[in-house]
Amino acid sequence: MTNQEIFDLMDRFQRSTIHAMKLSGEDFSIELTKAPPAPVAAAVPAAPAPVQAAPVQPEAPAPQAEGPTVDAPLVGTFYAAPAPDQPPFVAVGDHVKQGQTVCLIEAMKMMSEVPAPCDCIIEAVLKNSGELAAFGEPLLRYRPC
Amino acid sequence: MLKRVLIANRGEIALRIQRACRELDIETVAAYSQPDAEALHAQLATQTVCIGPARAAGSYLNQDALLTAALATGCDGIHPGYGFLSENADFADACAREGLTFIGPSGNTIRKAGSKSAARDIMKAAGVPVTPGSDGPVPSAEEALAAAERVGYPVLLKASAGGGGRGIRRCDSADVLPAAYAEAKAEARACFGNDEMYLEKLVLRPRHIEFQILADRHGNVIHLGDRDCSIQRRNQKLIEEAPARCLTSELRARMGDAAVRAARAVGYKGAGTVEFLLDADGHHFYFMEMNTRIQVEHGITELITGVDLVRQQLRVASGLSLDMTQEDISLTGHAIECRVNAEDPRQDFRPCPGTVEFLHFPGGAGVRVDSHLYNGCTLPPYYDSLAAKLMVHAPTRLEAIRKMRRALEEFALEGFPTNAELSYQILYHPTFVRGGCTTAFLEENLPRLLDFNRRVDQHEDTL
Repeated sequence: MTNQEIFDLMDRFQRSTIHAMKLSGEDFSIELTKAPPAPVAAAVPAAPAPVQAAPVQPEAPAPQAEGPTVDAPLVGTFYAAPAPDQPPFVAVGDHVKQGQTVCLIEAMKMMSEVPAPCDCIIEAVLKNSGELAAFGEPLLRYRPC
Repeated sequence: MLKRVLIANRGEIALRIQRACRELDIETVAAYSQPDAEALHAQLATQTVCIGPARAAGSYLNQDALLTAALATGCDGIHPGYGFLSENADFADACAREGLTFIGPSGNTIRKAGSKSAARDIMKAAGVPVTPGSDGPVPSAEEALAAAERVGYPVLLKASAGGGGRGIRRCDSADVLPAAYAEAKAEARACFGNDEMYLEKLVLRPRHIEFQILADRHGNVIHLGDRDCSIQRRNQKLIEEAPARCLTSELRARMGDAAVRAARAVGYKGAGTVEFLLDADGHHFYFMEMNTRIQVEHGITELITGVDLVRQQLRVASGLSLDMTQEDISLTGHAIECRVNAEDPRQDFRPCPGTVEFLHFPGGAGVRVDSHLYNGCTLPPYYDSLAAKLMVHAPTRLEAIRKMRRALEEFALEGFPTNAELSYQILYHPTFVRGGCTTAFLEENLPRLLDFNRRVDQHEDTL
């Protein structure tokens, strides 16, 4: 499995109503579990894992919360940070100003900065860095302030 | 063989491609626009990615979004279907740059065949007959006038990048030409971003005969016979049949040879179509244009040849040789296709998108229906109005006509009006039954057919 396939699987799993799944291939196995109310995905590669599982981002703890979201303005890879070795643009609880960059979307080697739509507090980061974001897919949830 | 293909299209053709992929064990990624989230092609694909909003420019024409989706999902090929980016040379090049197989000819071939004035020159050089006209583009109305004097009126002004009936004007005399020239040029600029014009003599009351081509990457080029697409309204085909009744086997062989020469001249790869005009005397034919994509009406060729054209496209794109030669191709029986569009002939063919409240497709031996509709689905207003393709295959033309009549009788769609009834009327028209229709048929007979319809409506109202 490629990293992307694992990401896709995690994504699918997170959106699904099932709470646990196990997938075994010739030289790998993956177990995904999540607590019924709080969907937290965890990829556990087996001992001789052929692929490096992506670092799992801390998930938003309050899935029942609802509110406005920043949606992907185009299809592309979601990045929470300006570079792999740098801190993310925003973290849960941050106050951000309107127009401040909250994440990046990469499409065809072009980075698009996604701005905050208004002054707000970030309530949740809904995608893992490096995942494909479909057009219109929610990336972050915020509360206007 | 390709492993995973992104389908950069929607509607029935996306479904058609998915079916061929499934049968070849190729995974599919449906790239869909927001309003197509519930569409059949998005439901049946192995994987889906929403690539943009309703507006085609942001989704099905959005090259970056399609390439990003294809790369992120690990595709090795992109099938463009028809319309949208299928004949976009830059997109074919961009796919190649990203290491993705564009399922179609190369960007260069598309460029050669796609510029209509350049294609004329290439065909002339390859010994394929073309209609008399300007030598290359006509950059001004004055030069267009001079060329028109030389070939004689009536003439057609055409956009080099044109297609789908856009950027074309008919001129019957010199006094209307300058205005028509300016109009067509502006339309071409708006529609295709390229306002190069050329001019050719208008062949009056011609038939539209096209040849299906298949070419691999190893120099093999064959043709799979012809289709008669003369039943058209404003260059939009309504009923197609294969093979054309008006061709003798001698003429079919000559035109088939010319089509193969045309394909070779542009270095064609994959499935394509060479369109000819056959003049009213039924002897002279002229190269009209080459379509570098799978066509809407490919199904009737599949019915009479038994060749799965989309499967062949995927094989050729994977680098395989054609698994047949010209000698293996024989045309069996007769096939007819009716395009059912969500449009109302009573209201000047106004597009009528809507929700399918009830749907029943015809069945039985020799009937094929390609459609993306299902009960409860919505045909959105943003894209073309094709709702279903009804196809029939029978041993003789008359049997095929009878089969299509009964197929249309069985067909039921509630939720929005369609042109199905008009096709049904045409299938009873003596000129059609005799096989005597030219491209002028629909225009000449439409008022009578519609008037008949109106009277039937009134009669039913009084009952």
